Amino acid sequence: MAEPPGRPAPLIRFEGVTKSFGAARAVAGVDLDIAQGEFFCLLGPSGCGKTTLMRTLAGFETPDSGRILLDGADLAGVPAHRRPVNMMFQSYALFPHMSVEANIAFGLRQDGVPRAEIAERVAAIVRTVQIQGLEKRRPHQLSGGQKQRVALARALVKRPLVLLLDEPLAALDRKLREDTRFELKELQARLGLTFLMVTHDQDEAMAMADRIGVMEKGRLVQVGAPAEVYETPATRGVAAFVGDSTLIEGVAGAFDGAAARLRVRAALGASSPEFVVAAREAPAEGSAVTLALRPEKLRLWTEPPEAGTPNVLEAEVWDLGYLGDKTLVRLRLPGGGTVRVSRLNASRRPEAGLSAHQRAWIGFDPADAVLLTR
Amino acid sequence: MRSGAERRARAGRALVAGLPFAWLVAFFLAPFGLVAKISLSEKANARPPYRPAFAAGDGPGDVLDKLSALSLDNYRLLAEEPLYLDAVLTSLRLAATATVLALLIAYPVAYAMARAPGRLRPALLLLAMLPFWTSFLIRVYAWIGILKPEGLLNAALAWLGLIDTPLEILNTEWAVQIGLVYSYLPFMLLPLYAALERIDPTLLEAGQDLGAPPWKTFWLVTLPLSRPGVTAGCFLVFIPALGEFVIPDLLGGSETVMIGTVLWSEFFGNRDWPLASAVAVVLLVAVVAPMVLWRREEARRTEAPT
Ligand SMILES: Nc1ncnc2c1ncn2[C@@H]1O[C@H](COP(=O)(O)OP(=O)(O)O)[C@@H](O)[C@H]1O
Ligand SMILES: [Mg+2]
Repeated sequence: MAEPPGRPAPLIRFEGVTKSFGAARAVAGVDLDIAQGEFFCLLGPSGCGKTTLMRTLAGFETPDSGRILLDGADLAGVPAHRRPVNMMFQSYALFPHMSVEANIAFGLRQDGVPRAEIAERVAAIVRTVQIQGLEKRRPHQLSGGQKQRVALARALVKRPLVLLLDEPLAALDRKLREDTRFELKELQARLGLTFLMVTHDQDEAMAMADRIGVMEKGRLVQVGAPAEVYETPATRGVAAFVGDSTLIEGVAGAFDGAAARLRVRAALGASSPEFVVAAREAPAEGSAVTLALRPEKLRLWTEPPEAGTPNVLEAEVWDLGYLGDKTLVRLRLPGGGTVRVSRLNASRRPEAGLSAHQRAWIGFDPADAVLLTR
Repeated sequence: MRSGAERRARAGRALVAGLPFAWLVAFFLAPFGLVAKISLSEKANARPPYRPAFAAGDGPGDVLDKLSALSLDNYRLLAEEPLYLDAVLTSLRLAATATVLALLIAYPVAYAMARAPGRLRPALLLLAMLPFWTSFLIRVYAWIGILKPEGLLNAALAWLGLIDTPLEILNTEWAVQIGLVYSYLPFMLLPLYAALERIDPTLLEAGQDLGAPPWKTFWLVTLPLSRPGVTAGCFLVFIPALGEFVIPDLLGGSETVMIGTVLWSEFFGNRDWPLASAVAVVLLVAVVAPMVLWRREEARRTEAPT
């Protein structure tokens, strides 16, 4: 297939990849290009097929249909042990009967690398992932974080075209997980390697990836930069899964093309307020739409805002969740349903003047609501 | 009050720790002491059939006299009489061969069982243990029917046109070897299965991911990780096979004399308890020595890389 000029050929290309287990469809027609040097993250809830998709690239699952190209070559029929990709397993899968050193050297031995070079490369990667002094230990003598580093070193030492990481941080505790995020990202940039990571943790995906592919029930529903996926989710599923959103169902009303504004009649229990939201093109009048409202983009007043403020709703404060850096306020709408609003605790004053069961007003700028038609 | 509770707790702990120890002393060390003592005695036409025999009413002088009457004569006889040495060597050879053959047969079977779909495994395990539901003796007798000149095996080979005259298998060492492998195969199969089943399949994927083809992953990962099962299976086959007397008696005829057969005939045929006890002690040492060596090697190996 000829590439359009000006765009480099992708390092990895999935073309209509489908994989079923019995009647269950784990991966359904995935098309995806990943460029050399990219940190790509597959994100989605547990069981959506992320690991299966990654395993088709590693050679552990054979797609039922579709093809996978690596550096332009079709991988069909190439066994796992001949593919120039390496995987860091979710369970790390370190060989328990071998020392750390032997685990790391394992892959180089298979390639027939000369002894002296093996020693050199193992020593170098041990320094890179900072596990000096652990070389002679067995895996059962390591902490979780150390195991993770050994697994990383073992996969990296072979200098793979692509490093596959299956939930690489899931087994670490929170603090270590956050530190390791940046380390992994920094390592990837420094080595100029292509990383394909699988995670169900959206913070992790946001913090690390150049691009995110969101999966839902075996389908790849959206691909884009973290900010793009967060600010303009393509489907209700993505809006609900990536970040926190309040979803409000409604019906499309009149469209003002000049101002790019759409009227939406919301269905909030008994009441049906009308909102004005930004829209590039109009869905058919009367069709069902969903508004996704991010908690940090909603405004909150304890007094009625001045007349003419768009998209205002009166509500009752239900409870306050103090999270340290911010406070999450849950409000009940008069017609039923709840809305979450987050307020940044930028100063050390406690949340002044806000208490449960008091009346409050929320509102949002027309440009801050996400209009979803899928 | 508090120290009383503490004392009770300590006594409880001592009891728990001491129970297996007491068991070992009562049912293993004490009988072994008796056997060792009888092996140092002399055959006698009496009840019990050896001398000296300690009695309840012995004074200190009597005990000293009797102790000085103990001797190593029986062991000397075992060393000097080639019949005994031959029997020991035959037993070692047959038991070792049976162990190797059982390992070679059981490993692929256990591997296939461990890799079978999870819902099939209980059924396969049941099949492997099925022989235990029939008497051991009957199963060995059945082999006579198979191996005898006009038996099933010869009939099948003749029907296939592979042989003209029946093979002489029954009453030879071949028959004993077949009987040993057959009888002890489950003891090899089960520990191998347990060890192989425990191996995390992602380790095999990791091996392939790092560039080792499946056969090499087997050699570098599966085989070393199944070693505990291999050793356990080898001991479970080798030790009872070494002392076996029913199989050589029924299948080996008078040709094949194993140490177990000797023990049996000395004890019941000749009523020579002291000599039979000496044979038993030699047998025990032959079994325990390799185990102790292996344990020491194992301890050295697991502690080394730290
Ligand atoms: N080897 C397998 N056999 C049968 N079903 C499988 C197998 N591997 C995965 N699945 C199923 O495929 C779906 C996707 O699994 P997976 O790719 O592991 O999801 P994720 O990594 O996104 O959590 C799940 O429903 C899972 O149960
Ligand atoms: Mg997974």
